[in-house]
Amino acid sequence: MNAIETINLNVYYGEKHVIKNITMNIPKNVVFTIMGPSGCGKSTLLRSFNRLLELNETARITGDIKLFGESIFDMDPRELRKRVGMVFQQPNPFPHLSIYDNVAIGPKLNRLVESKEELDKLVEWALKKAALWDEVKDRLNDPATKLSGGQQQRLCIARALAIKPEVLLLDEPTSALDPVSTAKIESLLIELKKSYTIVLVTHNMQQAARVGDYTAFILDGELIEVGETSQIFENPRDRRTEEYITGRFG
Amino acid sequence: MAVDYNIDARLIKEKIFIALVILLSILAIVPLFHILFSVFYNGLPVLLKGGINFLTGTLPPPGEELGGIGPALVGTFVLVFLSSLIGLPIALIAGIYAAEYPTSFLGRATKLLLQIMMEFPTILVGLFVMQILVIPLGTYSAIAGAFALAIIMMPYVAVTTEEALREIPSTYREAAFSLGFSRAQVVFKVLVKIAKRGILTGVLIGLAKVAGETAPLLFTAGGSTRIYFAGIDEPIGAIPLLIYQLIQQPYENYHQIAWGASLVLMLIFLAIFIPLRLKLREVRL
Amino acid sequence: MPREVLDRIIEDIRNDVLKLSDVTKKAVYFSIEALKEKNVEKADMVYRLEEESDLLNLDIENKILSAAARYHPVAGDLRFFHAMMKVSSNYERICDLAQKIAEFVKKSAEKPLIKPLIDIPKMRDIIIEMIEQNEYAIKNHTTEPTNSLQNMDDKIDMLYEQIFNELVGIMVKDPKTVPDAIDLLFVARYLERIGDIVAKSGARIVYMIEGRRVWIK
Repeated sequence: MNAIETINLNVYYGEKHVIKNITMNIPKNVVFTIMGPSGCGKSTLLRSFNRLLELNETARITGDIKLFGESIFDMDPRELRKRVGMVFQQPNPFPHLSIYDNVAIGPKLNRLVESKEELDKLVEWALKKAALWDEVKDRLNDPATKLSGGQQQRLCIARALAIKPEVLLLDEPTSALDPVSTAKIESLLIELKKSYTIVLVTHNMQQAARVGDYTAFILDGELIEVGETSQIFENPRDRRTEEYITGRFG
Repeated sequence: MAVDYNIDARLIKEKIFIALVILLSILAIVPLFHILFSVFYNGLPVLLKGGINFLTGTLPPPGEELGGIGPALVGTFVLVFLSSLIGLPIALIAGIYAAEYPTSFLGRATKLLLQIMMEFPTILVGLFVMQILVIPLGTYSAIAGAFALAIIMMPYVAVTTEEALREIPSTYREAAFSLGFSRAQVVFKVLVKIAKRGILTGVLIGLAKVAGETAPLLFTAGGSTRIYFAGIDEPIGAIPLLIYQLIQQPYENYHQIAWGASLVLMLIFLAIFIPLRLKLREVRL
Repeated sequence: MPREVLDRIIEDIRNDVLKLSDVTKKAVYFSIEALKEKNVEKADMVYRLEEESDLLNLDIENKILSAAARYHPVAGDLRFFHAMMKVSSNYERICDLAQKIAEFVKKSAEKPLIKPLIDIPKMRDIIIEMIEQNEYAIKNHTTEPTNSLQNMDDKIDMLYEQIFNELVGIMVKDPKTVPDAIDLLFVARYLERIGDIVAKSGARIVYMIEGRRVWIK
């Protein structure tokens, strides 16, 4: 069964048609990258998967999205978002909270733990999973804003993992980071796909090439091509894909 | 050479411009320093002469010794406390509502109303409260004064709260929702806490504003110079009110007390604002 | 960059190239064995090895293309991919030449050899040693064994001269031997070519490891 399926998905902002009839499948336990130029609608597409689009009052969705076979529009959005974690473009740990509390706030407010010990264990587990534990274990009570950009982004990954999602959405998670931090996050994603399905939006096609098992190319809200990453990068079927990845675009 | 001439001309123009800017800046802050200076110059000797008794004592008879401003000081604190009790919860809720539903009719109306209220002549607020509280109750009272001050405080607190919340980058909002939080959790457990300092600033500005108000108290609190506190339904004093009343009297000692009271008022004001300014610099997202 | 992923791919390609190297050695070895014994079965085996080398070469090429498209190798990685691509197609070419030798065997399986083979197996043994030295260099990332490649290639050339002169002598004495002698001459010629190709592959490996260009002939 696929982790996510979109069926004739359309998204409008007011009159503007931003996602045009996209039907595609995202298999389980892979890194699925969505690439495309700025403003092509890839972030919008990602935000439709956890119904975060609904925060925007002008957004309107038609078609269907299925999470492990079940329509997400039949689910309570809060329950859906617990199953589909998200990491954003700018590292955004909550600035008023410590490193520990940034990870703990999700399980706490969602009542996923019974005791302080259980919470401690969960926080440690999430930080380890995000490959951050060793760097922060001695200063869990420091403000999260004291961490470097790359560490903050891994903290955000830990924060998302702490509510035990099945799918992880990442919206250009490394575009604000230096190459070393980027490499760490990319390695982490490859590690994480063993237990999660990862959907990665990126405008950096090298990144899509490096970490993606599958790659979708979106242009002006249309799905131009989707396939195995090596096929997309060695032998794209669509002329526009070729033009984009070879830098001959526009 | 022509080129050199141009550079000279530009340098001279720049110097003139900078001198002008400095001059105008000085002109703008001179009155402020003059106020600070004259209040200290006239008030400090009074405060030193009266000592602690000046803060705790009651008003003396005309033309005699210095006495104190105790009832007015207590009254100011009581009024600020009561008005906060009434005004702050409503103001915070209104600010959060306006920030959270910026496009809804009610949200837009709230915001517009708050902005109008901020600029509203405060004496009209006093008249309004007199109409609805003082006349029905038949007496000036602490509660009427506090009610008037609450109305004046609310827009400041609400507008700064709204602004502090709106300044939070939307990515934190999205992050909070993406963790499966309810709207109430997002607002109260995350956003309000991030905006804590901004909101606190608004609260303190509101407090400082009402601590110094005179006009709305004229027809509501009534003033009290000899009784500290008789109950919330009885008239009560306030420092600005006291200054206003004393300065109109023809007695030298009353004028001295007014200067001393001015200094106390200014110290209260600075005590709120200086920590506020220092704190403000730390705000960082 | 997910370094571990690229490292795994590099290991995988290295193993494929070593496998191809092994196939090549066998092809060269059995082609001469088949010739010595006029053994058609061994000649057929060379044909199969040649097919295997084609497939391996294609595999390696695909893997390298895919890795280049996805991971944009630079520096040592880039030199590795480039060298392995070259070595792979060189070795595939060597197997083609071995197959040509096996072809002579199949063509004249019934006829005895015009002379016992002495120098040709010597050439072959040197070639196999050279391939093994390349193997060692690829496996252990050291250029030390490749130092003697030039020497060995010179030896092969000398042996070729010797065989050439000898065969010309035989042909002058007895013109009936000419067709068979020409076949043998071609075999020697192929082996000489193979020696060249192995030596050139060694030069690629030196460039891969040290980033320094060397010329062998």
